[in-house]
Amino acid sequence: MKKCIFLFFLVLCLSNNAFCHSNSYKDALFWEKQENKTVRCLLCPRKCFIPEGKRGFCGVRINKKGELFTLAYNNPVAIAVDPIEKKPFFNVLPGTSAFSLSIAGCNMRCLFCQNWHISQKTPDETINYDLSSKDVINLAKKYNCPSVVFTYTEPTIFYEYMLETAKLAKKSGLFVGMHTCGYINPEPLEKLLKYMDFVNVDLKSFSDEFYNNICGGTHLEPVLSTLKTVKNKGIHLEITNLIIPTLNDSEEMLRKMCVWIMENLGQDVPIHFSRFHPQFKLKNLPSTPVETLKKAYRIAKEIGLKYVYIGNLPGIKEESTYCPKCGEIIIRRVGYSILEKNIDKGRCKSCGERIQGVWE
Amino acid sequence: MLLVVKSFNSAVANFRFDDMVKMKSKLKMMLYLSLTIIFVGFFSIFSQSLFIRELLVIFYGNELTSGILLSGWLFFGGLGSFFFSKLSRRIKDIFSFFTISLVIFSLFSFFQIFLIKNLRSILGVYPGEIISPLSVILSSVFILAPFAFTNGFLFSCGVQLYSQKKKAESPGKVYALDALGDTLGALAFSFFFVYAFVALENIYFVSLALLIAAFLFSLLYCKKPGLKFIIAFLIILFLPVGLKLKSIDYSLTRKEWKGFEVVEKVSSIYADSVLTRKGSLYSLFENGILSFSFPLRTHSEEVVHFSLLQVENPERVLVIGAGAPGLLHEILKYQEVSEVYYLELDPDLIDMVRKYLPAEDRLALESSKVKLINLEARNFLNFYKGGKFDVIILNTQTPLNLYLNRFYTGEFFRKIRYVLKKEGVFSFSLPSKEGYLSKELRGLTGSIYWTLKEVFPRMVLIPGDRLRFIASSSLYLSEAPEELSRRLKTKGISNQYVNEHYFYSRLLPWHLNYIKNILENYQEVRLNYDFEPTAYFYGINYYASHFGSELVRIFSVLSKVKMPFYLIISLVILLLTLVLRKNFVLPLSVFTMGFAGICNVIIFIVGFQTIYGFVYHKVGLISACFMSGAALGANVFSVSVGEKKNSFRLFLICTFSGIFFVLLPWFLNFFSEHSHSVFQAAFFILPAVFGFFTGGFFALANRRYLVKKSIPEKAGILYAFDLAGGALGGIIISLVFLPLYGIINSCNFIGIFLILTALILRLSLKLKP
Repeated sequence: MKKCIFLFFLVLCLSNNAFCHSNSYKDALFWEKQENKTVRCLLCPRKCFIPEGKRGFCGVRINKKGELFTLAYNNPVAIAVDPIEKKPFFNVLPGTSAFSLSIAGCNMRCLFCQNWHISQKTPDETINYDLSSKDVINLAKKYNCPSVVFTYTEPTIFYEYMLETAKLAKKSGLFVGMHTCGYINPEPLEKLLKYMDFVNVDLKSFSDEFYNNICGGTHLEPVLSTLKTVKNKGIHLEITNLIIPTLNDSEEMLRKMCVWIMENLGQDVPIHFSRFHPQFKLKNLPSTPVETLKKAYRIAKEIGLKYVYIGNLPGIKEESTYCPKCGEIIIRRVGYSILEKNIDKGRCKSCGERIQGVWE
Repeated sequence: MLLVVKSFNSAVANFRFDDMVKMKSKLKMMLYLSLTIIFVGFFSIFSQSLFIRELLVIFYGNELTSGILLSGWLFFGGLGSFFFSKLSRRIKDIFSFFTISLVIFSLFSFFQIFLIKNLRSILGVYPGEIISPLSVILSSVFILAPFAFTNGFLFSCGVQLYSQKKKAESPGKVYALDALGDTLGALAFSFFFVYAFVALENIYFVSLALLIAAFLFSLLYCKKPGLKFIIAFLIILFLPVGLKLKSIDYSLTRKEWKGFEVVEKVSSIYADSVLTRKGSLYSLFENGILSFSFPLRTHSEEVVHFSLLQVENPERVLVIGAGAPGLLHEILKYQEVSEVYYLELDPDLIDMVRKYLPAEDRLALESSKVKLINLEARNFLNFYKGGKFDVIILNTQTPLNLYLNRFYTGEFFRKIRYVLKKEGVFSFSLPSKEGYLSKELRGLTGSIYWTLKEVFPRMVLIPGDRLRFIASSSLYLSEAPEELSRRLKTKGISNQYVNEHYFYSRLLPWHLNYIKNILENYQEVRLNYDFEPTAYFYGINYYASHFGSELVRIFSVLSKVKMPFYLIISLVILLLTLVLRKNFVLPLSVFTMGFAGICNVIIFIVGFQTIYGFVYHKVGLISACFMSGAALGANVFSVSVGEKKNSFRLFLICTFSGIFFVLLPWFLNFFSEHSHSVFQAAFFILPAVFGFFTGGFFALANRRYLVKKSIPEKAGILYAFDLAGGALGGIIISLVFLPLYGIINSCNFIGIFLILTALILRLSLKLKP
């Protein structure tokens, strides 16, 4: 297996052509024509008006002679065989590998982005692989990955590639998931969800001001709408909330967010409170104190959420899954390693309680 | 109140009358004028140093930021000087005008410190957010411009005052007096004031002193009683402010660190350090940059155990930088460790942090096995004669400046290799991303990877948000999670996070192979050396990539331009000037000397840091040596000589300056190989020598230029050229030459440029009718 991976990279590295993928345009979905060859992209809530020859906010959708094309197609910037826990999905196929991929670009500009090297660039600025949807499926199978997950950057910006790959993956019997910021319009989202098995949405804060100021002029409401849509479509949903000191760590905000989740999505939705470490433009902001994460954990539990986790802090008990009924440990984790699994056909081995998730 | 003012006025009047009687002699008048000019120099360099230091905290700066700030300062100083030269004819009462300028200068500086302290909130920057280079440039210009402008303005004004007493030598004399003031200001700030008082107190003292100087000046020279009254009133208003300075400074600091509790604040000769707290997490900021947080067990455990598990019996360990919070405690978990050398330059920093460390870390710091050494790492390695080490952990930040670059060069790695045992390991980390290395990161990590590989044949790379390099000659190195897990278990070490399962999460085969292949196959990279700091260039590129691709593109284009291109451009400009505007060659040569002067100071600072390590007050000493050399040069060459002799001297000084630059890399290499303290003392003579050339050239150029011209008008113009050259030099040397071409090539370029200037100047002066 190791040799196989090594050879794979060696071939790619030695052949510069494999890395230097020239830009090719693919017809974009979800847009409408406007006057003077301007187009309006309808993929995400920004709904950019794009004049001829220009690109949308994301930098990957381009207006060529009054038609909208995407640069993000068949050219992933990062691919990896990762533990699915790394995405993070904690109530999904524990202990398995996920074939993970992304294309450069994003429709947000978060000051704290952990993947800014690729998310704040466009495909023509990065060194990319040349990989069709079919290649992705073949590689996923080759490396024994039961799932394909679109992650690292914002998958919405490579919607066409994701949709095509997801369709193929479903046909091939693979699970499909994505980790998204949830900044997508309802129509494209609903079309995509037909081919999704699990979705993790970053709920970056429960404040519109935060979205507007820290995430590059975005808004909270469309993200909440995405969360509701995913849940209503019956897709397994997990939420990640990165807690950043001084910016989104107030007890009041955390409580408000958990209450909203409880009331609108139900108590079964797993939530990950993730630890911030100095990143990107917030390099001078210290990490999140452990007790802030524990406070968030306590609040979520008090409000009644059943599956609460603390992320980016390996080795603590709050990264394991517990049965909400009997309190027994369902999945014991250390980092991405699974040490113990007490679940059978989606039910707690100890008390038989059904545990929310995708288990087999 | 009225009575007080009246009696004060009468005292003022009496004082003036009595003193005027005493100071009637011309000599005394000149003495006071000279003292005022010296004090203006003192005040300007004092405030400049303080502003730049405060701005560096705001902008989390490096040499690049200082270069921009210095250039902005010089540019607006030049503009002020030029502006005065145009205005001088219209000024009727130059004494009152000078007095008013002194008052404005003083008030500007006091208000500017408030502006600087509030800059982050003015710019709408969030706590912990880094600022884009564009914002740095614009706000530096905006903030320092009025002050720098007044400074340049005052110089020309001083020349005009001086020229009323002494004619043609006045610009040289004023330059010398100003430079003397600069020297004293740099020494006073760097050696005493910076750590004796907080920023606000420092600026208050000098502003008040300048107000008093302006008042005394008005007593002696001004005819307008109203002006004296206003200054006296300002002084009275200013006095009570001094009582509240500490509390104002504290509230400004709290505002700067909004959202955090400011636990302690210390100003040492090395840095301004602030310790903050949020919950149980303490964070130390040095000059505004997050240095480390504690307790941060995940980090400490990772750094230590990934390194120490690579040696069978780690007995002797050396930790370079930020070891107290966590690392020492983790190292002492290994029973076989008998000695840990912990290098921490700043003793004040340890004293501050010690009180707040968790008990286990405090105990570790006090352990008899731990030797705390307050020495800079390269300095320590130069003189270390003790036993060799099993493990050396370098725990510093990314090489985003030249000071940090020296921990990642071939020279440094060889020093490390020398003090390591045969089977010993050396470990450090760089920013990275496990799934994708951007072009900028490939350059940075690639350069350091291949430089390291020249010294250490074997290496383990641990991918993550920081890529850990573990280098050695040992065959015991391993990246297999099962092996590392076994070693940890065998040693019976219990960790909170890095336990036997942890290695499986961190050492994922996909990511291990990705990083290895990228770096192994990245062959086009240049290696990193002390005087050819390529990693610094890649570091700047990486930093620029935070703010979009435009800056990176500019760097990429510039990196393709070879050094001879700049020489050809310079030669063309010089020849065109000679052919088209012969009279302009002299001001242009003053510009060139200004350019070379600032490059000289920056190269000496960088060279000093590279050889001996960063010592703030010694950096101040380099500037002071340069300025005192300039003062001496200006004074020596102010003496009148014949026109021919003058021209020849100009040519000689410019040529010698060029030769000096060509020889400079040789000098630096010499000092690098002979780092004994005697040679270190000799190091400071060199900037003084070049300062002497600069000052002398300025004085001679003025003598030559002012033969037929009005003194204040033309002296202002030459000073403006000198400063404009300095401004351009500061920008080019920090942003382009040093990162792209390194010290050796930069010196060669400046040297040849000066020699060419000397030849063209000689030609132009000979051709003169």
